[in-house]
Amino acid sequence: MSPLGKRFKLVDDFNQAENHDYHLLPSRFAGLDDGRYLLSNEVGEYLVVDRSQLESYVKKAVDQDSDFYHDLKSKHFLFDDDSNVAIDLLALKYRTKALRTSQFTSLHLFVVTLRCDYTCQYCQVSRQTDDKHAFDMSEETARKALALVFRSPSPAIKIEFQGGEPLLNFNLIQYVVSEAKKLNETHKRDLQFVITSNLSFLDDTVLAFCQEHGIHLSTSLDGNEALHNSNRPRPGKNSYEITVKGIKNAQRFLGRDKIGALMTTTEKSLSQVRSIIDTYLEHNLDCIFLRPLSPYGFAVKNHQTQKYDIDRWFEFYKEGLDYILEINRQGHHFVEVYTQIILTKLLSPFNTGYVDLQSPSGAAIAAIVYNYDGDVYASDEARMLAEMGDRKFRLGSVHTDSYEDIWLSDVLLDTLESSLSESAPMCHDCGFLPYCGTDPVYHYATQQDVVGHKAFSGFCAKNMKIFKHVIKLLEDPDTKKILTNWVR
Amino acid sequence: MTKHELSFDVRVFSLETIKRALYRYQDKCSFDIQLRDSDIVIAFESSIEDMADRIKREVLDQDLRDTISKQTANVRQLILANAFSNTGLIG
Amino acid sequence: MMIRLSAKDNAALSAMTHEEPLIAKITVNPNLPNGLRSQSVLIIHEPAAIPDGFGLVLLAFDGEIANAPVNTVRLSNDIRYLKENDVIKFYPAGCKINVLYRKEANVNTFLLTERCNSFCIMCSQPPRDIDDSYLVDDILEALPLIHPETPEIGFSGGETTLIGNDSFTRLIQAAKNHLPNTSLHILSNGRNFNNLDLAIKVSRVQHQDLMIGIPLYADYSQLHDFIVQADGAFDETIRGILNLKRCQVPVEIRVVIHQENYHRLPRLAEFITRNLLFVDHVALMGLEMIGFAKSNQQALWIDPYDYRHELQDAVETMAKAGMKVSIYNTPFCVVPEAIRCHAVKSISDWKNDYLDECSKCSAKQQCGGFFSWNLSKPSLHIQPL
Repeated sequence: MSPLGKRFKLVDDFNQAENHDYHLLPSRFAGLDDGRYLLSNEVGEYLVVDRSQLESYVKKAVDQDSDFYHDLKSKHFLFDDDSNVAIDLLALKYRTKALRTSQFTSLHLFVVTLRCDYTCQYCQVSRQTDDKHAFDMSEETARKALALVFRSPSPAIKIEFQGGEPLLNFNLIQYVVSEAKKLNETHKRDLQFVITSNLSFLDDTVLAFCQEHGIHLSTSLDGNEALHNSNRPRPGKNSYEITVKGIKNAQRFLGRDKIGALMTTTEKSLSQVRSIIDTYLEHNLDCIFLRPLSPYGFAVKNHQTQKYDIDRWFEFYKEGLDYILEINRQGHHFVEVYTQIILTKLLSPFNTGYVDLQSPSGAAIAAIVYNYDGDVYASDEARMLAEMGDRKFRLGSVHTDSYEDIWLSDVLLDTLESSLSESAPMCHDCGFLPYCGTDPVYHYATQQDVVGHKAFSGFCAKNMKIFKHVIKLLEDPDTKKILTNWVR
Repeated sequence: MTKHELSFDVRVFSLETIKRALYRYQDKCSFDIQLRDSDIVIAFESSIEDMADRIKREVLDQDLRDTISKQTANVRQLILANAFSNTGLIG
Repeated sequence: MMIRLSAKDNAALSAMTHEEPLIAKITVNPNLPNGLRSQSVLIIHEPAAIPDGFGLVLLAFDGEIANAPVNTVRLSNDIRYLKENDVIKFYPAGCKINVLYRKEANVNTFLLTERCNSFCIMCSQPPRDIDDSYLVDDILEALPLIHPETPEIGFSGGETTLIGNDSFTRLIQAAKNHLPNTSLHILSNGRNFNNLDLAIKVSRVQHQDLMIGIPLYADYSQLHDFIVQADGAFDETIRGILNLKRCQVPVEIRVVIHQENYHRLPRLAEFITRNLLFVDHVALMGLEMIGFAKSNQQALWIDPYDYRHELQDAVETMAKAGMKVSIYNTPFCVVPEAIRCHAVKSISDWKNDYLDECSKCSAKQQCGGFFSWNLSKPSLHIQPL
C-alpha cells in the first residue's frame, strides 16, 4: 500500500497505548468443544477462541496490531490507554439488558378452572368433576386478582387464561376481559389477552368474542394423529381431529397470527421429531417450540436418569433443528422458538421476556399465577409442584394478602436473591451466563434446593448443550443467515 | 475404577481455585483433598479414562477465571454504577 | 452534468452602486412592484427594455444592450441557468457571484466554516484555518429568502460546530423559523457534542426535522483516530452520539469506505448494532475522489467491487437488526443484487454525472451515478444492466 501524503501521520502515531498494556473488562468463558472456548462479556457479546488465544488474552500478551486484539477491543473484552469509552457503552448495554427486570411482572396467568375434558396422564392439575363450581375461579377471586395485576409497573400486561380447560369457564373469561378493559381505561397499559385451550369448545361465540377483543389463542399440538391422540387422550379418542379443526377455524376467522401451538415432548415423541414438525407445517403454523420433558409431568426422577433424558431429548432437539434449517433452506420461513430466544440473547443487545432464562429468576418478576382458588404462585411449575403436594412457592392468596405481602414475601425474595446466576457456584463464571438464567422452582423440584448443584442439573446440562450447538451452527455463514432472520 | 492422585503446588494454584475446579466434576466422582508440604493433593477414583487430564485442564481454566474476576472487579462495579445511574438512554 | 455554483467572469455593464456584497433572491418578473425591486435580482434571458430600480440585473444572453441601468451585469456562461427563487451572493468588487440556493436542486447545502478540528485522510473538502465567520451572517441573511417549499437543506463544513455553540444553535433556530416545512441535515464529526451542553442547546430548539450526520470510520479507536488524524476523536465522537441521542436529537452515522477501513466494515456494523442501535440512519459511502482522497488516491482507493462482500455483510447485519441503512455514492451495478434496495441516489445534482456507457443501462433511473470528479476513476466493473 502506498503511504499517505507527507502531511499525514501514520496509524501508529495515533496509538496512545503501550503494546501489551491493556486492562481486562469483565468476561467469562466456557468450553465449547475440543480445545475451543466461548468467551463472553458482561452483556453477551462473544468470541470463539482457542486455548492459546484465551491464555494470551487473560495474560495480556495479545499483539496490539493483530485483528484478534481489535476484535477483543471492539467487542469490549478489553480497553487500553487509547480509549475508555467502552465503560460508558458497557454500562448502557447492561442497562438495556436489565430493562426487562425493572419493568417487572408483565405476564399474569389466570387459572380459571381445573376442570378439563381431557384425561392426559402427565397432567398434574386437571380435575374431572360434576360439581361445576368446586374448581372454578369465582368473579370475586378474579376481581381481587385483577386489582393485583394493575399494581404491576409493567407498561405491557398480558393476561393468559389457563386451566384445566379455560373455555369450560368462559363466563369468567368474559368477565375478566371486560373488567380488565374497564380498569385499563385509567391504567392505560398495553393490554393483551391469551387463552390457552385445547379448542374443544371453540364455537362461534368464542371466536366472535376473541375477534372483538383481539384475543390470541394458544393450543397444544403434540404431533401426528396417533402421537397426539396417545399423548392427549379424550373420551371419543378424537382430540387430534378437534384440535386441528380448531386451529383451522381460528386461523380462518381470527387470522394466522392469532393462533399458536405448543407441543409437549413425551417418550413417544423422541423418535418422530420430523413427523411432528411436518404436522406443524401441514397446519400452517409458522413456528414450533421443541420443549423438553418436564420434570413435573414425569414426576421427579433421580439424577442419573434425568441426565439420560436430557441426552435423549437433546438428540431429538438437534434432529428437529436440523430438519427446520433444511425447511428454511428450501425457502420456507419456519422457526424453532427456544433457539430463537437464545439467538436473540446471543445476537442482539436485548434480553427476552422468556421466563425460564432470566436472572434474577422470572418467577413472579416476569410472570405470576393466580390459581382458581385465589392462591398466588411464582410460576406455573410452582403451581404444579403444589398440586403434587409441595406448596413451597405459594406466595399468598388474593383473598388475604396485599400486593406488598405477595411480592415482598420472604419466600419470593429469598428465592430470587439466593438463586441469582451471578452468585451461584459454576454459574457466576460460566461463559454462557449472559444467555442463561436461573430456575429455582426446577432446582427445588429436582434437588430440593433453589440454587442447585449445576453439575447435577438437567437444566444446566440441557442449556449448555443447546448454547454450544447454536453457537457452532452460527459458524457456518449460510446457516447464520437463516438464524439471524429468526432474531426478534 | 482406577485410583488417581494429583498434586498442585500451592505457590501456583490457590486452594479456592482447586476447589472450584473439583466442584464441576462432583457428578463424576468424589474427591479427597489434602495439604502435603507445599502441595495440594487430590485423590479420587474414576473409571473415566482421561479424568485426571480433565481435572488438570479445569484447574488451569479456573485459574484464568480467577485472574479475570480479580482484575475486573473494580471496573465491573464502575460499569454497574454507571448502568444504574439515570442516563435517559435505552438501546 | 456538473453545475458550477460560483462564477467570477461576469461583466459589469454599468456603474455599480453597491459597496457591500448583496445577498438577494432572483426574479424573472420585470414588473415587480417598485417597493420590492431594490432587494431583488432581475434575470433577463433575451434583449428587452430593462426596468429601473432592481438591486441587480443579470443578463443571461450575449446580445448588445442599450442604456443599461446601474447595477447591470452580464452573467458568466457557467451560471446562466439561474432561475426564479434562486438566491445569490453578488460581490460588487470583481463582479463575482456565488450561488447560495437553487430551488431546483435536490439538496442545497450551506458551508458553515472551512475550519476543522479533524484532518481526515480522505477529506473531500480540505480544511483551511481562516476567519470565515462571515459565512454565518450570510446564511442568516439567505435563510429568509429560501422558498418555503424546499424539502431539505444541509449545513456542512469544515466542522460545523466550530462556529461556536451560540451561532450553531442560532442557525438551527433560523432554519426552523424561516423554513418550518424543510428538513435540516447537519454534518458534524460529533466531537464537540462530547459536551452535553451543546447537545441540550440543539435539542431545545426543537427543530421539526433535524438530522445530524456523524462519521464513524472504525470499530476501535486507533483506526478511527488515524483516519481522522486526531487522537481521542473516537471517544469524543461516540460520547457525542450518545449525548445527542440522550437529548433525542436524530443522528445518522456516516461511514466512508476506503482501503484503510473496508476490511473492518462487518465488524463496524456489528459494533453499531450492539452499541448504537438507537441511531436513526446509517449511510455506507463510496469515496469522493477530490481533495485529500485524490491526493491520497494510491493509499485509499479501492474498487467498490472489491469490497462488495464486506459491504453486503455490513448492510445485512444492520438491516436485520432493524436499522435503516443506505448505500451512498456507489453505482448500482457494483452493489450486490441482494442489497441494491439500500442503494440510494445520494449525490447532489450539481456534482452528479454518468459514464457514456450508462446511457445503455436500464437501471440508470434508480442509479445514483458518479461524482463528477470520480468519472476518471470509476470501478472496473461498471456494466449496463
